[in-house]
Amino acid sequence: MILRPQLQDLKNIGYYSGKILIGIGLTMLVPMVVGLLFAEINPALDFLIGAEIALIVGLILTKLCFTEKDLNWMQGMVVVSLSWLATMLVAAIPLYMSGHWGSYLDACFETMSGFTTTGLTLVQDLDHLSYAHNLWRHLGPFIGGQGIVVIALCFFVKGVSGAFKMYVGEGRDERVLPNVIDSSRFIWLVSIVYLILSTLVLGLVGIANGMKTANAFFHGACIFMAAFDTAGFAPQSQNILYYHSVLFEVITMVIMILGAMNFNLHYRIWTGDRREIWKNIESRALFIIIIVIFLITLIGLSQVGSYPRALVMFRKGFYQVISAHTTTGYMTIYARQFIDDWGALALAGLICAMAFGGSSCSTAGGIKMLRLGVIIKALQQDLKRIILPERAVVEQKIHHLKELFLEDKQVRAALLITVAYLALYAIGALVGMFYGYPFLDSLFESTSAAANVGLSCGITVPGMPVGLKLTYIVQMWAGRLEFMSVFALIGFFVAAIRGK
Amino acid sequence: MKIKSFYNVVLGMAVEVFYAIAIMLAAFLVCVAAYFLKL
Amino acid sequence: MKRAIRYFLSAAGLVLFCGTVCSAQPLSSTELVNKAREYDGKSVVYVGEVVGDIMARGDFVWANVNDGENAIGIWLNKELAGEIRFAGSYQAKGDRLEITGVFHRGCIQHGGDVDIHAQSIRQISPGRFVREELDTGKRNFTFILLGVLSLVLIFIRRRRSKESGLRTG
Repeated sequence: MILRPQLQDLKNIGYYSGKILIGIGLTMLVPMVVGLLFAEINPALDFLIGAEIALIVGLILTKLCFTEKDLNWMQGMVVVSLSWLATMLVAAIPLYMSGHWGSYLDACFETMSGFTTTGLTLVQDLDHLSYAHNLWRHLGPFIGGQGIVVIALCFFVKGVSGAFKMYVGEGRDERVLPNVIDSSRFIWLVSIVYLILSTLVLGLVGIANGMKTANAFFHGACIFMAAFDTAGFAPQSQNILYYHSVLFEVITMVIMILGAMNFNLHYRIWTGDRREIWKNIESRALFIIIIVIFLITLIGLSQVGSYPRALVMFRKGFYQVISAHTTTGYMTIYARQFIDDWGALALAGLICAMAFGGSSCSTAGGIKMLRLGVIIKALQQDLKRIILPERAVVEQKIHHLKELFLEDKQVRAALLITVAYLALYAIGALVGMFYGYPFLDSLFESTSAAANVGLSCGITVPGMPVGLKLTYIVQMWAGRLEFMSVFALIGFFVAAIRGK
Repeated sequence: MKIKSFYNVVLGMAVEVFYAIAIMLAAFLVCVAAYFLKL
Repeated sequence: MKRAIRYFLSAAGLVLFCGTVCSAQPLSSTELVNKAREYDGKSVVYVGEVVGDIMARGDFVWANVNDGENAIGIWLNKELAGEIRFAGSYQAKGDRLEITGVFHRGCIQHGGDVDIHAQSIRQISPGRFVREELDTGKRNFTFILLGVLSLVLIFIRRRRSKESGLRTG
């Protein structure tokens, strides 16, 4: 018997959603300050208005729904999915006000794309966008990649058990540290340390490459945020091609890989257990699968003959593959070139790379390496069962931070979410084809959205059909939250309508 | 949250960057090998 | 007779003039990228606004030029680049240039980048700084919202002091 949501449910959900909105409002003050520093008055006003609206709504919610009770699972999950939607709406306000997006929907697409670290963009005239607005485009991934809820957990939430439920609802089912609030803080520590280092390095490289100092460091910070959070936004319309720099490409590749690593792995390595990187099933799977997929893609590209030199193959072929596999979405080619220069086999390889994604508990999207690892090991186990004598007991071990025995319930969980992702990729592809786009293009773009990649073969443009924009928004949202919170939200509404 | 040793952190970052470079190097070698084989 | 010759010469001149201009129709970035294989290695004319930073690399320079649809990287030598005054950004409109050069689908010299190696450039219109004017509508809206926010904060403070007053009382 489905029970209708009670007032306490609404209160809990409202209260925590309100707190998250207050957090988002406060973060909007950062681009506002940057706008003032660069003497961009109107953009600064845009962000002040956005912050005010977020704070007003957030404060009213926390006041009306004030509660000291802790969250249960359903409430925690609903808070996550709902606050991601609210964030998308509120964060879009300053962007829309800049005039660089064709509609409020386009601005919402951009913020959902940013916060989910996808990177598909509908911005117009990016080369004339203010520093303030551009920074906000890049801050979205920086906040969303680590987790909007994760930020809130660092500062706002006191009840630990409710905190854990929200943490899990945001697509992380492993704690980095026993206390989920400490986990959140560690995730931020890694991000900030790499931010400072990378901004420095990229800034210096930028200056050496001929950029003005302020731009070099601004771009450095933005590029780091979008690379480490495997988002894919860049401050200029040509994406990474703007820089025409091998060094830049190499550095961004390193950052992308770092961002696609499990934060638990970062923790282990940073606390002395350096061997873990090569025992861990995810880091091994990532290495092997990237190279295998690259081989397939390379064969495809060689057949078409697009990249006739080794260095060119590396900078154009491999760059896009690693961008896809880490679900970043940085491009050193134009979108149309995927269709013209890549051929079906290479594109298929790329789609697989996007579909598989990076590590779990990282900023990357896709099905994720842990699930793939679990499924492959389960297959191995079943094969062994067939080959070995019937009375033999077949135990399969898997090393993920520690030695574990593979259990059926893990395999079941992995398979279910994998199927959910595959279904999402397929549904998006069907919608694309419904609007008249070819099969491979539709599948490419749909996978890019649902796995939060951001590579585009040309479908994502401001003139895209509204229905497709909405489809991709839902895909990006569901993919980032790994379905459970989204299902919880749907379940919540079903219960509200049909419950007793 | 215990980060006991600054030394561990720095070495840890080095290991991670090394891992990333290893992937890239492997890919680059594949590119070079493919170039020679096709010729 | 003289008139006839004059007319003939003017007509011929006009035809020749049209001929040179028409055969040098500027191509859009979309056309260049979409038909990259067709234009690969050929001399093309491209018109657009310089955006971002002009990046010096030794004796040559990268300038990214945006024609409203996409931006393409232009590789110029230092002398040509010296003529560029403004690059587009939030606060500036860049020089609008007509570039004649060789287009590459995957320039081997530059790691496979799509680019144009410029042979000559011509400034069509100069760039300038763009001074933004304060949007008074936004400014007023900001103040109104500030008012609302203050009211909300006051309301919250009051409720809180009332509640704590009740508890201690």
